[in-house]
Amino acid sequence: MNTDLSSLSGLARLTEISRYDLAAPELRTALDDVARRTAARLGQPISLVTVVLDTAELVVGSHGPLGWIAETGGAPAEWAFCAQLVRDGRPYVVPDLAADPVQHDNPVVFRDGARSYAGIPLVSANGHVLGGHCVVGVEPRRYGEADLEVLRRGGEEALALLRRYRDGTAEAG
Amino acid sequence: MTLPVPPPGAGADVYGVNRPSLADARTALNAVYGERAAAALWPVLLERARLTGAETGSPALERLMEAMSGHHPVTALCARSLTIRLYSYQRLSAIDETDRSAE
Repeated sequence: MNTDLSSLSGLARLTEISRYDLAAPELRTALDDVARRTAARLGQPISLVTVVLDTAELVVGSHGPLGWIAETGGAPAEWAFCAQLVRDGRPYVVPDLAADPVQHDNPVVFRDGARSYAGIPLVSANGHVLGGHCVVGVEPRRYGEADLEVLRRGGEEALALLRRYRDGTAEAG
Repeated sequence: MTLPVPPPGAGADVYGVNRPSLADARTALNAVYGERAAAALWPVLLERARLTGAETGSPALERLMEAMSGHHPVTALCARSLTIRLYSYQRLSAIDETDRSAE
């Protein structure tokens, strides 16, 4: 797992995230639908739409068995694969999480059974990475460009939905 | 006025994540706002939560998180993070304890 959370705490990025009404039930339902479609298109059991906060990942849309994460609504950022999307700003693919030097000691891998991951960043119109759209598998899997294109299409749908729940009033201070 | 430095969280970590404490809340605010702004914000939040800053345990943290949730939207996001971390810690601790008891 990656314990470096320093790049997640940017005030401008968090200010952008604060402008979205992430608690809106209609938004959750719509983002769940995006996750369901992506999971079906890629044949994977789990798909998420996430927002990465300063020290935790917030699941704002999901499909599939999430276990304890369904109860907590998210996970510490150290355990969140999508946090890497904020760190790098580009797609993050791990064909075999158990063999990955960064993720093999992540409890979501060795405890909960996640075995593969592919995610793309959700980037706001003003350039901030809000979080990600991803699939998680329970078997190792190689993902290609066509798979990432499916994720990008889902990500565009998710961003379009999120924009409907954004206001322009919040300012940091 | 010099405020007490929050004590670190107590207890064993769970898969590398500790039980969140007031110290973690202060660290998060430092990281987001910078030390100077966080130092100004900290006593405001403690006063709203009716805490001295020296308390330990989850009830104190939950009062602070409530005060943070009612502050600026970015501070509320920090509280949301702490809530997820606390619930994750509690949930996985409970599951693991149940598993150990069943063995």
